[in-house]
Order: sequence, then C-alpha cells, then structure tokens
Amino acid sequence: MSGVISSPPLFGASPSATLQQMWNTIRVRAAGVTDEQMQIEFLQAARDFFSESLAWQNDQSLAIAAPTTTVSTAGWLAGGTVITGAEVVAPLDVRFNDISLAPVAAVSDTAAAEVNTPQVYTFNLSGLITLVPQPNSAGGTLHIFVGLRPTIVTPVIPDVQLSQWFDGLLDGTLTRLYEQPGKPFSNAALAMVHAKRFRARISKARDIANRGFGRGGAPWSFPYFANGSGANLWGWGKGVRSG
Amino acid sequence: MSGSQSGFTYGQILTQVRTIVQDQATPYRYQDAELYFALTEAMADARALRPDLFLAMGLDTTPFLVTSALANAQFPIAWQYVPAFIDYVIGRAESRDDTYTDDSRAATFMGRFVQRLTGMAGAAR
Repeated sequence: MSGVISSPPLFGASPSATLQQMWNTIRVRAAGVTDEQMQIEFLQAARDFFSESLAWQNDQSLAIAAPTTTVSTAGWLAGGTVITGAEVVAPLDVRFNDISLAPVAAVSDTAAAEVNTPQVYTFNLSGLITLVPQPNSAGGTLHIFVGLRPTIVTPVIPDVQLSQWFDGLLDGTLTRLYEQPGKPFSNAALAMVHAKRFRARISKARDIANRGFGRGGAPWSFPYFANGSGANLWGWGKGVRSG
Repeated sequence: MSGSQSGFTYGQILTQVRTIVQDQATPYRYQDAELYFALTEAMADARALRPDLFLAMGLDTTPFLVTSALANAQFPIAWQYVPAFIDYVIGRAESRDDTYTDDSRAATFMGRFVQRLTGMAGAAR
C-alpha cells in the first residue's frame, strides 16, 4: 500500500452500457458502496447465480482423433470460440459423433488405456474432459454443451447474459452488500428480502434453462394418491415426476 | 471519474482543513507535517473500519506514511468519503492541547468521521 491507486477495476474501466446500468443501480441502492467492493460482490453473486442455475450455456464442436483423449475446457475451450473470462461449471451434454456419452466419476487404468469409440467421459475440477475409451484413429466430432460462470480473475459476463438475468444478479449483489456489518449500506432486513428473491430467481432461471429457453411444458407429477408412494396423514405425498 | 478516483489531491484536502480551522496564513498554527501525520492516522483508522475503501490501493498490510511528497498525488479514496478524512484531520488538530483548540469540537469531528464511514453515530469503536 503506497497511498496511490494501483489496482484496475475488476470488470475494467470501460463497462458496457448494460453493465454501467447495473453499477448505477447498485450505487443508488447501496449508498456509500465503493466501486471496488460493488464489483467484487457482483462477481460473487454472478458466480453463485450461474453455478446454481446453469443458465449461461454454450456449446462447442471440435474434431477429435487419436491419440487425443483429453479436452481442456479452460478458458473456455481451445479449438472453438474461446470465451475469455468464463469457466465451465459442468458439462451438460458430451456427444461423440452424435452419441451421448455418460458422465462417470472415475475409470480404471485398464479402461482408460482402451482404444475404441468413446462411451463415457470424466470431468475434473481443472476443466479437463477425458474420453474413455480413447478415440481410435478414425476419430470423430466431439460436441460439448456446458454451463458457464465468470472466472474469479479478469471475469467477463456477456451483455446478453447480463440483460437476461439482470434482476437476479442485482438481488444477489444487494444481498451480499446489505448483509455486511458496519457499513453505511448495512441492512439485515433488506438483505433477507433480496436473498429470498435471489434464490427464487435462481430457481426460475434454472427452470427456464431446463426448458431450453423456450415455452415447453413443465415436468408434471402424479398426485400422491396415484403414484403408489403413499401419503402422510396431512395429505402431503411425494409426487413422481414424468415427462 | 471512475473507481476510487476522488478528484482531489492530498494537498487539496489539507488546504480545505486549513480553511475550516482558519490556519491559512503563515506562520501556520499547525505545521504541514502534523496535518499529514493526522491524515496518516485517518488512513489507519479508516483501514480498520472500512477495508473496502482500500481495495484500489491493494489490501496488503504494509503501512504507509502520508507526507508532503504526496501533496500532488491523487487521494485514493472514493470521492464521497473525502469529507470524512477532512473531518478526521480537523478533529486531530482540534484535540491538540493549546489555547486555540476546542475539545467538544474535536469530538464532534472525530465522531462525524466514524459516522460518515460506517453510517453509525458515536465515537470510534
């Protein structure tokens, strides 16, 4: 610490119009907040929002041939359109030559050494997707569909995501600001209100994403008396989802 | 103006302090070194109360001394908190034990510093 400004703003010095609107809304709602603190809490709220809702989605296709067995999704993916400032939360679907591969936690050394058409894949926290068995020399096209979130360092949130989920991201940021003690903008009661809204908006976003951002019908449940699972004395039962 | 730019220099803050305590004519009642040190103390107290104000400078624990060498450097705390630091330096000046000072005035300015930073009335916690 030397008495002069040395750190650039987390989201850069020239925000887009949408991001500027977010900053201005937060500045007004949390009077006294500094830009640096606001941007840190916004990033944490955004990571929380996108990790849980998986509403920021992207897909990439790339040709894979032996001896390639692993694909790095860091930053986001080499070989396709690179999205800087984003990282993969989890693969939502991995296909090899249009055949969906099953996710597995781990495979044995023997299985990993086998060469054939890939059947399963593993995904680790470093963002590495490993195909098992290894693709043979004929190779094929790998299609990866993932949920993204902003990275902690030099994060980026595209305007289209920011605009779509503006209210949810705002609620999350305000929750994190209001719940801080000893600040001019501390407000435990409002923090609870916004936290509740934030959780609801994450659920809503997850639901919209699950429907493919369309208007498809929601999964429905058989009522308790029709699903054979029984109900308690108060009439609450466990529905069985269908569709 | 963006981020933590205050739009003020350290020197301008002390000029404003001198205006309020009516110490603009030389020889000064309060020497520059005294006021700069009071500003150092203000930074230390603010660092304890509001570490977020120092994010733009880096939050490492290395202390620094505000001296006249920084007179023309931009004050690195966000614009809306500049009055709090002016209050602190005035409070420190007024708490000196001499015939010109006023204890109640000192307490008022020091209390206002805390209130401006935390939104809470009262003395430093």
